[in-house]
Amino acid sequence: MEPVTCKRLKQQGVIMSGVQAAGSPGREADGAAASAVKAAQAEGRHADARERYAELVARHQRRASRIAFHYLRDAAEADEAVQDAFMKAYTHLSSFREELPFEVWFTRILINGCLDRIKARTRRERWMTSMPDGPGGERDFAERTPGRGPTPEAQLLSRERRRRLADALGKLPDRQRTVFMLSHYEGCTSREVSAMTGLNESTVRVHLFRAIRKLRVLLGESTVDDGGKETQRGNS
Amino acid sequence: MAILNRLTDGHLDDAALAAIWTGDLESAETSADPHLRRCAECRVRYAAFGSWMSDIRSEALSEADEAFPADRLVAQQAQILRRIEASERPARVIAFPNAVTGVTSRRSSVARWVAAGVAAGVIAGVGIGQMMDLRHLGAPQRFPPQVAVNPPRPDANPSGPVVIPASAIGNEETQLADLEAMSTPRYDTLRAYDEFTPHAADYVKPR
Repeated sequence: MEPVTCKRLKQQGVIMSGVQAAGSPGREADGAAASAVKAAQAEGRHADARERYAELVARHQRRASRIAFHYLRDAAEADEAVQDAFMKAYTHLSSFREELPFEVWFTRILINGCLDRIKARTRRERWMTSMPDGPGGERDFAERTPGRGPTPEAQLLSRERRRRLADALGKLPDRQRTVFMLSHYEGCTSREVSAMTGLNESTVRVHLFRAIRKLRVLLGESTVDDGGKETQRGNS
Repeated sequence: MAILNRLTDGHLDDAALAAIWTGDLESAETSADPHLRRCAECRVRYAAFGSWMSDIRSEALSEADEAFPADRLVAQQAQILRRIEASERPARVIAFPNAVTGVTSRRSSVARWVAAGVAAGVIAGVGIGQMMDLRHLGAPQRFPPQVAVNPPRPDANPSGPVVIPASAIGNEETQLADLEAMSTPRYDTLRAYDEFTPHAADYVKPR
C-alpha cells in the first residue's frame, strides 16, 4: 500500500505548500504592485495608487478573510478587520520593505488587528451580557441563505463538526492557534510563519506539533492517560 | 515518552505521527521515517491521521468561504477602495463669507419716506393714546378739596351745611372719600343703585 504522506496530500491538492500558498509568481507581482503603489503615493497620483492597490486587495482578500474569520468567528467583524488591515497597509506602505513579501507583512498587520479585536471583545464581554441566540440573530450569512446542496441533517452535522472544531481551536493558546492556522489552513512554511509572528522557526514547529496533539485530544481522536501514554480512539 | 512508547509497543504513537506529519509539511518530501516505511499498520494509521488533518482543513476553509462568498468579497473590495479614497480626500472646509455685500433695497426713496412717516404716525398715536389714558385715570384724584357733610345736626348752626376744610379732616376721612369716589359708578344703569346705597361720607362726623 502506498503511504499517504504529506507530500502526497500536497500533490493531490489537499494541502498547499507554503510556496504554493504564497505563490511565487504572485509574490513577484505583489512586490511590483507594492512598489508601484508606493511610487504613485509619493508622486501624489492617488488614483493610480488606488488602482494598483486594488490588485493587491483582490489577490489577498480571500486569504485575509479566512484568517480573520478563523480568529474572530464572526463574519461581520472579520470583514471589518480585513478592511482595517488593508487600510492600514495602504497608509503605511511607505514603511514596507520590498525584501519582505507583501503577504507576510500584510498578514502580520491583519493578525495584530484580529488580536486587538479579540482583546477588546473580551473586555467588552466582561461588562456586557450576551444576548441569547435568536432565529437568524447570530448566524452567518451562509446559514441564512437557502440551502442548495446538502440535506438539513448533513448541514446540522457539518455545523456541529465546525462548532466542535472552532471550540477546540479556541481552547488552544494564542500562539499555537496562530501557528496552526497559518501552517495548516493557509499552508505557510515555518519560515513564513516565523516572519509573520516573530517567533523562532523551531518554536513555530514546536507550537504546530503541540497544537496538533492538543487538537487530537480535544476532538476525541486521541486521549492521554495519567501516565502520559497516548491511546488512539480509532482510525477515523 | 513517545520514543519509549515506540520502543515498547513497536508502533508509532499519535505524537510520533504528528511529528512525522509536521516534518513532512515542512520538507514536502515523502516521509523518510524508517518505521513508517516498513510497518503497514503504522502507514494505515498515518494515512488516517493525514486524512483527519485534511478534513479539518477543508472543513475550516469551506466554513470561511461560505461566510465570505464571492459577492461579499466584491463588496468588501469596493468598500476598502472607497475608504481609501475618502481618507485621501481632504476634509471639506466651508469658507467663511468674508465678502458679503450689503443688503440694499431697490425701492425708491419716496416709499422709504412714506414708510417712515407711517411709522412716526403710529408711534405718535400710541404715545398720545397713552397720555390720554393717564389723564383719564388721574381724574378721580382731582376731587374738590372740600367734603359736604349731610344731614346737619339739630344742634348745629341752622344757617347751612357745615363746610369743613379738607385739611381739617383726618387721613381716615380722606381715604373714605377716595373709596367713595372710586366706587362711584360710571355707568348710568348703575347710578340708580348707587343712589339708595348708603355712602361712607354720610357717616363721617364733622369735628
